[in-house]
Amino acid sequence: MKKSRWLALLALLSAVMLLAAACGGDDDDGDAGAEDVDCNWVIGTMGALSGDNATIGQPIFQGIEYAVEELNEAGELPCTLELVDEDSQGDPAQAPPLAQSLVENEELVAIVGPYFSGETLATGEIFSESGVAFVCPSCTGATIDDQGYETFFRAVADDDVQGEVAGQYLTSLGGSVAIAHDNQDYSKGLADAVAKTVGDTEGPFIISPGEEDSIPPVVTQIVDAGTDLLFYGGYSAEAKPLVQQLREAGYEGTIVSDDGAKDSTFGEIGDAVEGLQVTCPCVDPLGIPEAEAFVSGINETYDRDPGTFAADAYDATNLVAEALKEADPEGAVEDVRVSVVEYLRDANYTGITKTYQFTETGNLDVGPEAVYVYEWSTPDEDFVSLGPASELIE
Amino acid sequence: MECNFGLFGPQVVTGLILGFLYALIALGYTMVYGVLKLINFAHDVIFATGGIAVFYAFGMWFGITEPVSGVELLLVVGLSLLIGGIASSLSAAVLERFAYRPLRRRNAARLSYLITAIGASFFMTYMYQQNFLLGPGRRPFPNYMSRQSAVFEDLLGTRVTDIMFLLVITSIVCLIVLDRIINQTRTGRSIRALSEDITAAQLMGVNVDRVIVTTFVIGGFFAGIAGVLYGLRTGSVEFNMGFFPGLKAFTAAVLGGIGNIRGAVLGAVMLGLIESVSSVCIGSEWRNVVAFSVLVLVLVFRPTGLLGERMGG
Repeated sequence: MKKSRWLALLALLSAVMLLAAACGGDDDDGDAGAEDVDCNWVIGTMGALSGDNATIGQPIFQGIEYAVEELNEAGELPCTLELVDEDSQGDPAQAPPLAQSLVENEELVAIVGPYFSGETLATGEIFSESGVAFVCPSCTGATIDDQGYETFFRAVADDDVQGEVAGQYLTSLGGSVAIAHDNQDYSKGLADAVAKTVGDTEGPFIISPGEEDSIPPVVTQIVDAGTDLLFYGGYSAEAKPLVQQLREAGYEGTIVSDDGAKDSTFGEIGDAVEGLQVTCPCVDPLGIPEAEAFVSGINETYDRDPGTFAADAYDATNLVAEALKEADPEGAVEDVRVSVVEYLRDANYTGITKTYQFTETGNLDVGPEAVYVYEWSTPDEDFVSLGPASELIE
Repeated sequence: MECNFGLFGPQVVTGLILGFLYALIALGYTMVYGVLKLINFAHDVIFATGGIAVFYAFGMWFGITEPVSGVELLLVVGLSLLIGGIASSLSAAVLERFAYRPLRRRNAARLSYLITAIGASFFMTYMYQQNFLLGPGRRPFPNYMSRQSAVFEDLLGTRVTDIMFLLVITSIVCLIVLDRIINQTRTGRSIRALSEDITAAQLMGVNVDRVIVTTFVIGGFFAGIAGVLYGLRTGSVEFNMGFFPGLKAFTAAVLGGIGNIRGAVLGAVMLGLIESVSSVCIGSEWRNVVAFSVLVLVLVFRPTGLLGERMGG
């Protein structure tokens, strides 16, 4: 008896220590301010930094982090920038308290984020009410700009544009089309837009996010439908097993997915990735002369090529910095927040990927030319840009 | 959506595969319940442990990550199932020893067992999520079996890959072996005796502690095998991979009559088929609604499940 009590105590003790260790590692990391500037501005960011979708969130974060470091080194801003990150794992349920803690930060002047549409819809109210501009570098959900958020800006084309372009692209490839999605805000919106543009489609076949067992029945249905093309709306976490199982089951059609599936780790599924295409309003910085310094900077800092939306996120951060150049370093943080929002409303800024002008609802003022098609052609490589979808359609 | 009857065959095959996987997991729930009248909610993590053990053993230590073939394949597959089974058995035994036995010694209330089980499940799941173990994301399962080659190119309209075939055959073998153990061995007789009347069994000279550990170990072994098969099938492992399969297997056990081994198998296969067929007829987003409606209906008319609560055959 005595022995087992000691063991229980030991187990409890080690559990508590583990917990403490886990919590200790959770601190927000920010850059220490340069000594010669005595004021500090916080830029907040939030997204999937860990979890199933971390492979999509991390490249975006890297774009932002790199931009902040570069801005501090250049020292053109009246105050030092500090980046405070919150890890929502891309989950709308986890995001609101994190957003609340961001806006309560007394030095926070703007947000570059959130990264996904679902979490943006879950937190837009919080950012909007506190008067903080949130420049979302990658959320493409079509309904976000309908919510009346007063401080929302989007640095990429939305899914109304992407859905229509993707639909036209599928039509131009020719053949019958099946639609599948994972029933989340973003995925369903995009898949519906594609289905509407294409017209006559099979499906939609719906899988449940996080539930692997929901994939095999859908695979059977798609294989049976036997279409020439499949559009899948969703994120890479489900797209990977879906594509893999479709190919195992003998599906031979072309699979086209979306920006949520444009993930450099897709190669994990082996040969099945071959020929996979995605549409994405993200710009591939490789091959853009203006982006050369950025690409080599990311290469050096993170030992990889810039991932999906990294360049767009870099631009979004620099855009916010542009707004901050005109802000008063002595002023109250509320005033700085207001001046950032005002600047963004009338912005006309050209970054390394595109020119940023916003509509009244905060959408980026662009057309179909802002959507690109990428293909994974060789198993061991990565997605490669085929060019703007509008050019491929012709 | 109209019911597409042309898809009936393929969905039956898919459903059977799913059902056999649920069955392997359901055995553990039902055996432990039969003996202790305890729902071991930590069984989902014991299932996950099997897959995770092979992820480490093959992926990290042995480095068997390329598909092999022939006799080598048989050896490697056998070894992986064994490793998964043993790892899960061990974790089940540890769980019994340190979480449940102390409660039993003190004659704790039923509710204490339940909350201990749930607590143990969360504890182990989120230990796996820590970065020094699996971390939060999905990790690729070692690819020692070719994912492409198929045993049947067209069985009732489905391409049955080697992995699916392995899953079904292994499950059937496991179920037969278990049935033999329970009904024909001395250990099986002790387990059955405990499930009838634990005090009487003790008075008749059955070593209760040892039989209970054995029950956990056997249930854990099959769950571990299921974990390896699940990893092979989905091509990945994840810290919370046990959650949905565990919940479904528990449902299957209740559907068939918890405490009843053949009932668990029947319930699992039924649940797999219902889920799969309802995906075609109504749409896959409805499959959980349909499956759980069937569960409620069955329990209304047969409160002890399809085959009732009796362990032996």
